[in-house]
Amino acid sequence: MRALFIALATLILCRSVTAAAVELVIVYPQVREPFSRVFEEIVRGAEDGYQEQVQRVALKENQSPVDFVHVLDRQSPVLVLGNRLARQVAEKNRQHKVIVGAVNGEFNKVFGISLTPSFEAISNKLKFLVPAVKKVHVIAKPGTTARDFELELEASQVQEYQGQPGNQSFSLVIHEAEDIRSAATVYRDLMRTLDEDDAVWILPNGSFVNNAMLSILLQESWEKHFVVFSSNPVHVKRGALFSVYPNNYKMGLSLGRLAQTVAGDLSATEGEESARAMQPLNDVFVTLNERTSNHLGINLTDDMRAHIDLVLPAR
Amino acid sequence: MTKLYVVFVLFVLACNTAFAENSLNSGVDFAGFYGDEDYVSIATGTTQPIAKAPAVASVITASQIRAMGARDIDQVLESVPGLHISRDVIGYNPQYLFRGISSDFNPQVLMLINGIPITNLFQGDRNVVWGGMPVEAISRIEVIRGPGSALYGADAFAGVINIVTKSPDEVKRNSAGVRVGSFDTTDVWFTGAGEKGGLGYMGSIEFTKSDGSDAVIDMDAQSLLDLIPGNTPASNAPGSINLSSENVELRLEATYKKLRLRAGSQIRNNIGDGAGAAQALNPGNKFSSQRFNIDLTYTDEEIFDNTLVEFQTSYFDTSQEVEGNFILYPAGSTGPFLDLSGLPIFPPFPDGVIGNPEIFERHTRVGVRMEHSGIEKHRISAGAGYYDGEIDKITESKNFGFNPETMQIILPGDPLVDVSDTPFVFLTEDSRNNSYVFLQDVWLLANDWELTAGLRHDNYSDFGATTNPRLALVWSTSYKLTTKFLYGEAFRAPSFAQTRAINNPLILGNINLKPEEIKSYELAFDYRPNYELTLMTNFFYYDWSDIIQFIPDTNNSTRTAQNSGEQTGYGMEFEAIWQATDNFTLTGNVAVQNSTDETLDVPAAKSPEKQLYLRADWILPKDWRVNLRANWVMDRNRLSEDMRSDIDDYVLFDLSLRKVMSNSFEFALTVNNLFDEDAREPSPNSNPMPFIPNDLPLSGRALLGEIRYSF
Repeated sequence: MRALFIALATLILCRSVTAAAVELVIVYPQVREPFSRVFEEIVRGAEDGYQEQVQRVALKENQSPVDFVHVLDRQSPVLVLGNRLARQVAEKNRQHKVIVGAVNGEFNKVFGISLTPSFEAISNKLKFLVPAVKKVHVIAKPGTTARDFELELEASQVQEYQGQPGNQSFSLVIHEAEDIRSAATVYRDLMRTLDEDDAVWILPNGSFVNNAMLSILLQESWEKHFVVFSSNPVHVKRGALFSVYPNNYKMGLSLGRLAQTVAGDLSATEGEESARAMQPLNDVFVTLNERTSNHLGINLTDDMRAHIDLVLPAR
Repeated sequence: MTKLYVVFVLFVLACNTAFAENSLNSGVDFAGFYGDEDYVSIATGTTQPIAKAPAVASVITASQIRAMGARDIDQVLESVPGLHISRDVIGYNPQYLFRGISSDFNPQVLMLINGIPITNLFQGDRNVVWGGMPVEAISRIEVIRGPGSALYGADAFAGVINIVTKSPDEVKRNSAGVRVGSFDTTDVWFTGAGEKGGLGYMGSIEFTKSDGSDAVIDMDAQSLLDLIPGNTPASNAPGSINLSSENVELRLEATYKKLRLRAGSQIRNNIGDGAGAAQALNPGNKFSSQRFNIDLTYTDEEIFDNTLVEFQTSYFDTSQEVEGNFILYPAGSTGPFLDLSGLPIFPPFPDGVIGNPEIFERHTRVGVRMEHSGIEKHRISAGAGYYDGEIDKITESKNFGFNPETMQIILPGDPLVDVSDTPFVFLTEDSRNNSYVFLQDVWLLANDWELTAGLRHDNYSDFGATTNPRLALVWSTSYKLTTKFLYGEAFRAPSFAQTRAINNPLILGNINLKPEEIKSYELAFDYRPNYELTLMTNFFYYDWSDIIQFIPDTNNSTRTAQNSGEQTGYGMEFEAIWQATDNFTLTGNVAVQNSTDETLDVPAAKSPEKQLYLRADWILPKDWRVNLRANWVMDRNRLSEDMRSDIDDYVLFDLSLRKVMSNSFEFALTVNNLFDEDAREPSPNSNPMPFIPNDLPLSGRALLGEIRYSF
């Protein structure tokens, strides 16, 4: 009822009051706890990141921002959170100041920040936690190159990329797999060759890892002492060394600032598609499995712990 | 069989349902980014990651409590493997029986609220006027089976139950709710929290009211007295057990920078006496209790490098009071005063035999704890503290025994005589203090080996010093298996009823008692064959010595408390958690124990030798959630001199249905004892026969409806 009221009020406001042009409307879905808190934290961050007035609109499942907030009629920016709502406006927003957040990687040519952690964010954590790792292996779709990882790496072979010297860096080895079946073979062959200098990175799209494969990979990593880290925090619960998850408030701040930029940018309404690009997420927390870190002999000093946001205690 | 069939059908239905996406989840495909729901809860500060002690431990979270539709902690605690909740005659007070360890008032279990003991000096229990504890303010309940005196000090003996209340961070929305149901039950609660200028605050208040139970006692102590030739029947049996309660539970917390202030209150009014203090029904008997606690904690990590320092001081005030007159034997009873031929000494007491004992206690604690992690591979904690406990006021009025003014026997029909502050009162006012130091090191011996070694020394003003160690070796055996070897010792402080009871015609205290002691050995495994299944099992052996028992005196008809008993026990507990699908979880545990009273060389009585607990939790389409529980209690022995046949086993089924109506409204329906099973807990034995021969019946089927509103 409250959402409806706000939506109606917003509707009246945006049609009659042109002075509200710099007001940011944040549209997000009504979901149950604890998921609702994710949105609340992002919204709080966005409010702090956006300097001007902000309106919150929480929409129910059957409500579309196109109808309720009339995003398409607006001159002021609209921040749309969550995949469902973002999908409803993304296709039609080319001419408008729409920013999307808390979405997966399916969106492009839209202003926004996806939930996919940036490769840099996660590789920095690896350098910090296990500087001894020399090679990081990823399994990815054919055609994936180091450029896709946007890391400061130089190509040394066709599929192996060397990091900059002196930067405690590692080389990235990309192993190609077409599908989950071929990936299984790739993993099996790969695991035979790995030792303590190696790490396997499970990419955000899963790197063709299902539960069975993950179990084999983690079991093998336990026995051979190579590192497995992941872009998915659930894998940490299962024994991967570490992962990252979104810092909702900071992500909100970044989205608010992005909205501020978009609001002041005339080109945003003039259809310059090149300006519209999704950014990966840099505002992340680190989570670490203590049982695995103990097993690998990583000595977690208090200074290191200060950089780990969530330590999953040993059993 | 029908019951099991119904359960089986429900189970099959659950497994076959094609789960549609729930409306309130849609639009949230977070899984790959936030992990599962647990992670989201932790990431948003709803819950804290829980580091289990290196012990055989269980944690029950607020969301599990809610899924069970529980209104009292006892319903929740029954899910802990190896823990069974039996009932005392007085007030049907809970007796938390761990691994075969039982006694009259259950002082061998330490209950803490936010880490601070709520043990009473009088009987060493939680209070004679307990009245239950509602669950809305609870964040989680941590249960450690086995001894823990090296960390917690006195009474962390058979097990430790730590109730942790919600912090301001956890309560991000205010909520209110109402529950109504069988036995005239009405509960109302409100929880709210906020933050202003760095000050976080949380407040929770719960009002609960109930008539408690429909169970009927068919014969009581008075029924036996009624059999004496010449006596006019006076018994209220058959009659309902007296389990009324009107409770107020208040929890407040404020946090500011490094300070945390917590306060709480448990006001218990109109509390029924269960099956009676003298095992005779008296429906009008009402107790009350006023309990207040406050604690202030200062935590600082900046004073010293790599060191956490915590100061805590707390105060706990508790009372046991009588509303009106407390009738031990009903009007028309001649009371338990019999001559050698078994005939009444007195004519009938026209108002019944009345005794109104009241006790007021105060407990003050101060302590400091340090945790240092500056030495590589070691995490050292050390601490010291002081405790002062006092029974500062005892009052008693009664219409039997000696009148201190006239030095004459009080006769039936005489008015009540106040014996407070006279040598004829039942217990002397007294105090006890304790100072302690402890040291513990968690040492990462090797990559997969962690040794926890702890030692605590306690010095008591009344019974002297005791030192208790513990050792825990945790071995990450393989990717899937963790093995723990545990050794611990503990002590149980003698209660004031055991050390200072006087003027009781039957039992006398003994100020020279030593604490009871226990040594325990455990071997535990945690095995996770795949991501859906967690299996935990442990094997234990304990030796409980210096058990305080009332032993007949040689020259007298009285019995005096002595450190005379010994009990040993062994057994195992097995627990499985199976997350069959995203929407269906099956949890189960089996506990088996075999305990022996070594002084008589007979099986120990009262505790079940086998227990089976099953819980199914499934999330159905349209935001419905079903939680079904079964608790099977088996093989409880009688005392060796108890001639009754063995008490029947029982299985209780509880069912909760929950529907999330919107982001603000939630509705639930709970049925406890779904099949109206006649379940009973053992009543005490006496000579020549038990006063309540047919044991203590538990409540029949009870239906409760609940609505919650969040805002």
